[in-house]
Amino acid sequence: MTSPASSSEVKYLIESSEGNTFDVSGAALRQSNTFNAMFLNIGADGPIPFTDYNEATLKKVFEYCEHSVNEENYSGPKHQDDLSKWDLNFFNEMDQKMFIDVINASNFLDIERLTSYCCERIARMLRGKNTQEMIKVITLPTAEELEAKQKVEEKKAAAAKKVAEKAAETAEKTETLEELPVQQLVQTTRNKLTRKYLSFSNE
Amino acid sequence: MTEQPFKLLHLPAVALRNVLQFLNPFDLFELSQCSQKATYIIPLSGSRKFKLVVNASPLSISVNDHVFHIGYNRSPPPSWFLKRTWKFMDSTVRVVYLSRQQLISYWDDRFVGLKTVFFHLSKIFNCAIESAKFYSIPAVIYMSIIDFISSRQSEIKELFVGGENLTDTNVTEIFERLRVTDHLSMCHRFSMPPPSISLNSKSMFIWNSGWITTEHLNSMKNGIVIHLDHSTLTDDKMTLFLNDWKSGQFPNLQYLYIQSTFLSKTFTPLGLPPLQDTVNPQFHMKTILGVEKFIY
Repeated sequence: MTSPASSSEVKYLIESSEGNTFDVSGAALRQSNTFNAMFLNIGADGPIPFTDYNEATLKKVFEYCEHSVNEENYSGPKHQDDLSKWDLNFFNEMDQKMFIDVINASNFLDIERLTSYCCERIARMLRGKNTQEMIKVITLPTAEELEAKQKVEEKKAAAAKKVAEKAAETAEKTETLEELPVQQLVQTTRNKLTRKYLSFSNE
Repeated sequence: MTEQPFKLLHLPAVALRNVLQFLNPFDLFELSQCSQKATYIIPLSGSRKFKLVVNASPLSISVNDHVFHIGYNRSPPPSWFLKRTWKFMDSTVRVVYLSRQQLISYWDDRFVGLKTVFFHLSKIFNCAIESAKFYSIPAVIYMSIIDFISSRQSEIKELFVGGENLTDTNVTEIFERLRVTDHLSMCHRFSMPPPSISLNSKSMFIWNSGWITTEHLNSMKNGIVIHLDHSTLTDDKMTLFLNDWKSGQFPNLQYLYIQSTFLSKTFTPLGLPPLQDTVNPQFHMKTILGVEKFIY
């Protein structure tokens, strides 16, 4: 059931990437600026398709929105130490993959509070770390790995170049064989047409 | 959620920007050391709006409220401090955290260190240089820093002009390239009065002002604070200036201090009796441009 009305009683149907649908309250959904911009005033005819995200992720995101319905208006990022017990449990029970999916969905739905809290948690993982520790946390390749990767790429590029050169050589040979009759044919046709045109214009 | 590795650079741009905005300049700098790609994302943190200040005393560079001190290599850091090895431009140096907001990098030549750290930080954070408060540094280093600043911006809020062995040409060049908007402090003494240099900052402290002519004084129309030490202004020139001020040509002027041995002992501004009571001196304080000043 969907409706353009803005009452918190109204429920909206959300469709996930699996094609499953589930209910979300209007009040929870209104925390999404994307929803507000797209559907709030015009309403939605049928389920709202957020089909880039799976059901589990969307349910997690809207679980957060339902919980924070009665919280005061969002006014900038809160320090992680100020998070309630519920908030902390919410984040702690997510695994890494779910966490990243929630950030992506929250970012798409433009839910400022949730995106901000998620980002603050990532920032915490980086704060005070040295370069090597950071590289591990954010899975960046090290300088040695980059060098090795570059060498492999250079080898691949050199091999590809050789193949391309061979292919070009073969093509050139074929072209010289095939090109002659085609060119001759074109020239003959041109000559015929010119003669026809001249005889026609003389008449 | 446990701390497991994840691909930071794969986050959507808005989320990545949010993450970076939670990091302080030290953490951002540490992140920039991870890889070339990591360096490129630093401006997403809003670092373009950071305030970068070069200081002479102590030799350091501040980025917002985080200070990168420059130290001599010969003084080893105490063992209990957090140590790092960082790369500034092509130099790899030891870095020690003195506190959450202060760290020190060690260099064989501190002035080269200052220049290198400054160049590197400016590039990483890509922010405007708000203030360069340094003097008594070799002219070569001073001018290369000025070259760098003027290649990125045409204005600077605050500038101290006074490197060791700076020539008149050097100083004239500085004024041609950079407009000092808020505060100019200068201890360079011109051997000959320069033909025309722009002296239109809000606050001007010129310590060796013997070269200042009435023409220069007349160019200080924006001045809120004018402080000239060791001036060569005479009674006539002072009276000319004061008459201009009286006619409203210096509408912003709130504080004027001119010290000159060329003024006669009997000189009084505009013929008025001295404002300072020499028998029973009464000092009044006034805060002008954030600085407390004695006024009479």
